[in-house]
Amino acid sequence: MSTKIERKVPTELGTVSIGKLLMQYAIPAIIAQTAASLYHMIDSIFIGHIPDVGAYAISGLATTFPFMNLSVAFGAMVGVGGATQLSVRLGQRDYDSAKIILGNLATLNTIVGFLFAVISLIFLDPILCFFGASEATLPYARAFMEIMLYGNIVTHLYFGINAALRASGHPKQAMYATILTVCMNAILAPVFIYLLGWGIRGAATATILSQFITLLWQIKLLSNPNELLHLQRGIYKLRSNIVKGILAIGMSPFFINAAACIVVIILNRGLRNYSSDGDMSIAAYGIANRVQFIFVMVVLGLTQGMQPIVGYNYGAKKFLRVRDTLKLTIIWATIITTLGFLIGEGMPETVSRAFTTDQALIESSSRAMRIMFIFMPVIGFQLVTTNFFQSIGKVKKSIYLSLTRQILFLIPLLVILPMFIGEDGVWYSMPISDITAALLTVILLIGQFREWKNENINI
Amino acid sequence: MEKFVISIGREIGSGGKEIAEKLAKRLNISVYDKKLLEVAAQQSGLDATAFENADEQESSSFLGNMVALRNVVAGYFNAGSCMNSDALFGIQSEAIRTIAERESCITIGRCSEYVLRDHPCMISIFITADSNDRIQRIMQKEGLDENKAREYMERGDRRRKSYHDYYATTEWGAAHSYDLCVNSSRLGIDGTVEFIYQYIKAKLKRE
Repeated sequence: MSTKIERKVPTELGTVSIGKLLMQYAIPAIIAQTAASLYHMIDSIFIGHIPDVGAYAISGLATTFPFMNLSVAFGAMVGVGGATQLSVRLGQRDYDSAKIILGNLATLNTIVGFLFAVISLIFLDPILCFFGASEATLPYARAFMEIMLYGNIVTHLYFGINAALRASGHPKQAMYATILTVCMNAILAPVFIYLLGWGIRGAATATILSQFITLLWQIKLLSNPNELLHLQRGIYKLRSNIVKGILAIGMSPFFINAAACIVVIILNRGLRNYSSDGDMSIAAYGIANRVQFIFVMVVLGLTQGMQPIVGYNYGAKKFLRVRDTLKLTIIWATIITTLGFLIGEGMPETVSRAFTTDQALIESSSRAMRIMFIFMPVIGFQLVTTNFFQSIGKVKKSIYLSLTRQILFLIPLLVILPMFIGEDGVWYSMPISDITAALLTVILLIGQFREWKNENINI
Repeated sequence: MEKFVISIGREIGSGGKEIAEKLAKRLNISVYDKKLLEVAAQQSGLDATAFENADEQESSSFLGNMVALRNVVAGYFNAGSCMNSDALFGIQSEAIRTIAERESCITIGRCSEYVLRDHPCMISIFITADSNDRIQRIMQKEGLDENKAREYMERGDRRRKSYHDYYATTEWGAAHSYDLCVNSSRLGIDGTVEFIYQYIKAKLKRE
């Protein structure tokens, strides 16, 4: 392993066939995206099959999702901020500055992870209730979250160092670390949950333990003194200019993640207020959302593979290749989300059964899936086009579009619709927001193509 | 003689560009200003406009980060393959190094004094001037009235500083970031050119 940051210009992006490039760039990104969501899914599946554990445990678990989103938001703030700075410095072969950024990243991760855990543990019950837990589901949510918070520093460091590994020219190792953690979790979870009989606590312990083992491996990788960039003495003391830089960059990913957390809170609270059985509905949303999320993640991975191809060819003014890449990515994304649609509409009971043995919950989560997935095929197009605008430097349009589906349209709908049609209002908000966002995306995309036509750009 | 590079940082309206050009004529070497971008474009196969759009712009705008950084979150490719401004800066830096290796030259801006910090014979110079002189020069060059010119100057300073300090570890316009900082209002353009020329001669002699 050598720290060699190749600033080789990827001119192949302008010549090799688009199908081949898309595969080459998208597959690692898809693995990365899905892996992270996979282990939460694995946890959910194992917990759902603990004997005598019913809808309450699953509902309790669902109320911890926004909590973990929030923790990720803080972790990503430091991790992404640090990794971005790191990659700029390494690009300049400025190893002295890079080392200090790496050290500061680790220190800051530890501090933020610790503070988040302490504050959350103190206010654990009120926070979980605010996120949608009830008296019946609170014990399960608390049991899971307590362990997750004890290990919060590990989680933050694991993600932070992985981001640093990726930025420092070890994308493969970073990918192995992710896969390793997922696999270990899949093996350890049943051991802790069933064999040792720790139940829902066992799921959390397995997650933290697998992250901890991977963290040790990451530290070993980064401790090799032959590396130009490695962990060593004297790099951990915080420097105000580096901390400021990390936080300035990290604010944006923080807000993206925090927004996702807020939406789930509003959703959970809506279900609690309007449903006749709030716990059951929250659990149903937890399951349906897990399923939809996997397909969304695959598409997001795909779009990340598309970005450099579109970005390069747009920069090189090879507009036909830009158009073809967009077309191909939209086709693939639509295939993926349509597959999700078919599964969600055609066999939601079978899918739900993977997450729970509770018959009532199987029924309500199947119903949730049927509603949530109505317009799923268009989500692929919406996500790809949003990222397309980003790739060609139309940042404002891209942000606007990515906010519409999940925030600008969804939040008002979540608040207003239930006032008129009750619980169903919460459920139907999601597909309505999907389709309106997709329509808006079509309009903006057509507008963009018109603009190009006026500029005589043949795209 | 060994190849040398003179990196000139400058405030808007300080006459830095004119000084660089006159200096280049006396030393019989080329000036790389926007020409840097052309070299970068040539090396990368990208169009020069891609670099112009990112040229000395604020990189750390909140909106820009919001999306650009999602690449990093799951960017499993080399940083160089994402065409965000960070990647463009990397390619541009490579172009600066290529030029500096190839010939003696003067580079203007674009953090070149940081990019070339390991160059065996690099002289970094920062040129400033009194505000009034700068405003006069901007009014003339851009055809603006005094208030507009002042605004233009302040915005330009902010933009260059934010660009520089994001990409370099040194501070834009601070004495400790350069070998020589000089106020062109004191000796005038030609006087400053002569002064810097003598400085360069003395420095090269020592090498």
